[in-house]
Amino acid sequence: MTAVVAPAAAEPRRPARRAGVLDWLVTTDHKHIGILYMATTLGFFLVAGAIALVMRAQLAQPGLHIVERQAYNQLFTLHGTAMIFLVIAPFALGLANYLLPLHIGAADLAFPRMNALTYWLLLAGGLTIFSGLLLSTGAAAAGWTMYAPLSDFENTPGPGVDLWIMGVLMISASSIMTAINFLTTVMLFRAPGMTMMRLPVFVWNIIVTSLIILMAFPPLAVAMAELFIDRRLGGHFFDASHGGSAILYQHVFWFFGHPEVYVMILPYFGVVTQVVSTFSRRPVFGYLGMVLASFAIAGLSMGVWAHHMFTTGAVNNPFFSIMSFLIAVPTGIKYFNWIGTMWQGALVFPTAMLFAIGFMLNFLLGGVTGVMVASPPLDYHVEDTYFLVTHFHYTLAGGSMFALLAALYFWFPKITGRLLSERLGMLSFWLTFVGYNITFIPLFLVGLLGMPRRVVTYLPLPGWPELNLTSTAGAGVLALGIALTMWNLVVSWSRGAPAGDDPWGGGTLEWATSSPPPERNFHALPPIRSDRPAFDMRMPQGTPGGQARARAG
Amino acid sequence: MSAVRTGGRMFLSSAAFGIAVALGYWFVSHEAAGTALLGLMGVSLGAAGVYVARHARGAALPADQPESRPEQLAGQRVGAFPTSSSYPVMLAAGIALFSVGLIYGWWLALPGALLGVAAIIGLMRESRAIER
Ligand code: HEM
Ligand SMILES: [Cu+2]
Repeated sequence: MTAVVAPAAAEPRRPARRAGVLDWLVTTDHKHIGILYMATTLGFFLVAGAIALVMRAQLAQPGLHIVERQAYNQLFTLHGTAMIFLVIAPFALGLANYLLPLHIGAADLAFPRMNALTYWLLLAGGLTIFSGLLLSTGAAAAGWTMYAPLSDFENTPGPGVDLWIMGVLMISASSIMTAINFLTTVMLFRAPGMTMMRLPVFVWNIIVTSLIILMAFPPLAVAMAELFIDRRLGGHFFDASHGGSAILYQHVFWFFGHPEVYVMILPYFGVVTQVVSTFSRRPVFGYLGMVLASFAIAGLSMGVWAHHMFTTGAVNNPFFSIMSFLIAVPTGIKYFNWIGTMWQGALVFPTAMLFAIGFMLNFLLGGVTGVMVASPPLDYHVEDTYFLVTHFHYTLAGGSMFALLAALYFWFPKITGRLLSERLGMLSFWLTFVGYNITFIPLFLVGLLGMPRRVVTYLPLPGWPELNLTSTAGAGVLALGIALTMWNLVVSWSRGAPAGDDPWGGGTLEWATSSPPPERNFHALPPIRSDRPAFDMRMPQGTPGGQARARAG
Repeated sequence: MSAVRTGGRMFLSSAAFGIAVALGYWFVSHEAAGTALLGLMGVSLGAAGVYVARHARGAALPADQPESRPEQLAGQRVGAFPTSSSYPVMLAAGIALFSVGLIYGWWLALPGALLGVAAIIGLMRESRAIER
């Protein structure tokens, strides 16, 4: 607990002391908190993934009874809730927790103790949600959207839904504080010379993500509080029989829900941008375009929420349809710039790059099907079928999850000082990529045939059993791929090859310090004259085709 | 230009965007819930923007000068970052017990609230020690 003084010159390197359990409990170091975030979210990832396998097993054939209907409802609710609130979004925040101060040359985040609070609230929220499983009435079973009136007291009297509400409230508070912390840190704690226009694109995307969190999570907290008041304190916000409105819940929920999908994708866009630039040996193509596209996506994402409500008949479909179509434009700019970054680059393909490319291929299908379901006539046809399920899995699993894995392979060496095995990594990538597509392509088809989502079983209509069986088999391959990466993490943590400070030839500042970085992150900072200061430090003259651009602030 | 001022503008232009979309949305849909959500989003972003903009004056950071070098800060105090504190985990536990207590009863909510208040007092005293 000391005031931090900037180092005068290179300090001697001291090996970090090994932290005990108590140290982890009270730490306020952003790197330790980042590691806690990532480890915890990966734990929830394994649980949510195991749940998915049980659901796929149940759906392998029509009429199976591996789980009963009510149990199945709890499973898909927990799977969706965990993946969204406890895995994809908070892993990104944990990664940013670790990287953001390093990327901008700061010693820590602006509010270290608040940062620790956000982690413990996230953990408490997650455990609260899952604790419903211990009740005789079970955990919440109304889907991750928790629609009223399905979630009201008459229809689901058990406390599972209440636990879910409280857990989500804790997670909202955690996310809001994290957003404030990130924004303050970027504004005030950048190193000398790190002007806004020299921030890595990843940091820009975290800025935009933080803004979205500030706009979207307060409404979610309000929706949760109102739902709780309706359930426990005699309120009637969403109760149509007493002048309330169930549509109101959908409005408030999706006012959060759609922006949340961008909270779950923008940080991963940032990951892919850094990975692609590093392994193309080129600066990010169209830097300013990347930044502006992120802002455009954020702005538009606030005005499209009711595309989730087309079929209610209670919203202005043309308005929301047009706004949704527009999002494809800035997203297209991102793709254009990634290709521009790779164009004529000296490409290399370690595992991290493979996952980044897998991301681009999969997310393309997610985006294109997004535009399809943003067209009301098409949406009336596929709403609440497996086609929709497949749309958002191509964005979240084929997209964000692939980028998450890319991030693991890319930054694990920085975090631990050891490399992940590339052999296991490549194998894991191919199994994951092939398994993922075998799982979900059949679901597109069975969705078009009309198979509804959130059902425990189905009739043996023509094609349905075959497509479902293929999907379940694919899920097995996918699970094997993920398991390999998890195994890789465990083994390499203690036995991986030493990574050195900069195993990839990276451009951003974290590659200019040791692996893992020292307590205050940097022994000495290089001068910062572009968005690739570590690269400039190694190659002051730049390389042909990839000059470090000195951008004026 | 100072990044704090950029930050202020970021909030203010987002606020303007929110209010503009709220108006446009009301005009095409006459739907109250969404208009209120968009409008309030604009107003609250505006409040944050005004606060940041008012504090932007005089915030000239070395970070915002393209030619400044890290050595310029050598030996200067750049911030106070505690490396450990036992109050965050205590506060989180307090909040969790209190929230779950709202479901199961005051016997859980009350200890949670007390724990939370104790943690907040601890944090405040710790802050004073850090400032010094
Ligand atoms: C080009 C961009 C996108 C467009 C136009 C789009 C459009 C849509 C539409 C119209 C729906 C509602 C369909 C229905 O309820 O019938 C939907 C659902 C969904 N989308 Fe997207 N989307 C896009 C990108 C994304 C991204 C990037 C993500 C996440 C990373 C995402 C995640 C989801 C999720 C989770 C749902 C389903 C929510 C639920 O009902 O449980 N989408 N999308
Ligand atoms: Cu949406």
